[in-house]
Amino acid sequence: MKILIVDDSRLSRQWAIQALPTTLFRQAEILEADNGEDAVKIYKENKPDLVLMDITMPKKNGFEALEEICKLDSNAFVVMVSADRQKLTKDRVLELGAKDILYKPIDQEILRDVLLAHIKKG
Amino acid sequence: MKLSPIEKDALREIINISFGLSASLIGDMIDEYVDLQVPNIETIPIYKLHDTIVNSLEKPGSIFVTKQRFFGDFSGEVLFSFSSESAKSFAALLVGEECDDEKEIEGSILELTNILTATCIGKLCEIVDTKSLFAVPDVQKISSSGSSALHEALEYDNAIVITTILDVAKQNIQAYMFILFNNEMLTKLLKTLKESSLC
Repeated sequence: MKILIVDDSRLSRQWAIQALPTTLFRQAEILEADNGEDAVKIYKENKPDLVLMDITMPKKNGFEALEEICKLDSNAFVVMVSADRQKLTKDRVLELGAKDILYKPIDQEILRDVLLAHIKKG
Repeated sequence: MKLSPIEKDALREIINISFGLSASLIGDMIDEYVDLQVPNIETIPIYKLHDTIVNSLEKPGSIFVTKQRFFGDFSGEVLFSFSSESAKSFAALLVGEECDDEKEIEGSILELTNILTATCIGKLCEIVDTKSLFAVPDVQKISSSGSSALHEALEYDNAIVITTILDVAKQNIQAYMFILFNNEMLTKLLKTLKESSLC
């Protein structure tokens, strides 16, 4: 299993990795990108099973990267991670194809619940 | 006291998170989508504060400076500087029409100061596991050509300068946030971030 963590902040990537439930992702290979452009490139090359991605990033923001990833793979499992708690942001990422949005810093239990809910659905 | 790239990243992200919450509160107030970004963060010695505020203006003019102290185990002061245009634009968003009334403009940016200070310092306090009390903010208007009216800030040693861009309803409102600390407080904050493995 491969997981792609995308955030321009090293701290937030670290938080995201720490929040991953070990029971679900014990053997996962973690890939990292610090901008949306690299995220799309890594996605093309590696087809990760899960993407956790920030919105405000250099080069290509999370909205643009999400749109491209979902065009490349309509089954992409992307969960956005943002400090922005506005409803319009949530509506936009869901419309673009994200499975969900989580707020920073990621709460481990909420992440686990979101992932379990989607795994059950899928 | 200069921040290392890792300390800068940690502080910027913590401030980003608190600004995310502020953006949502401000968005609710004005019923608009608010994009609040923190493109840059740095520390300066306090004697450079006045020049930094004045130089932040694109063209000479007057600047609104709001100030709010916070007390407790974690203490310091937050300053925001707005050009007259940015302050006026924010007031217009808040009152829903063009605004020339200086009292109205001051009231609007004081409200913004209250929200940003409470969420930002609140988040920093949460991280250093302490609490702070906030004083009532106040505002002063200074001229970019005038001498320093910020002499009282000299009781501090450093300022963390946070460039803040509030992009709302196609208006680019730019403000600078300055968190003033003495050396002891800044050292305490950075030490706690390190101990929490945040940097």
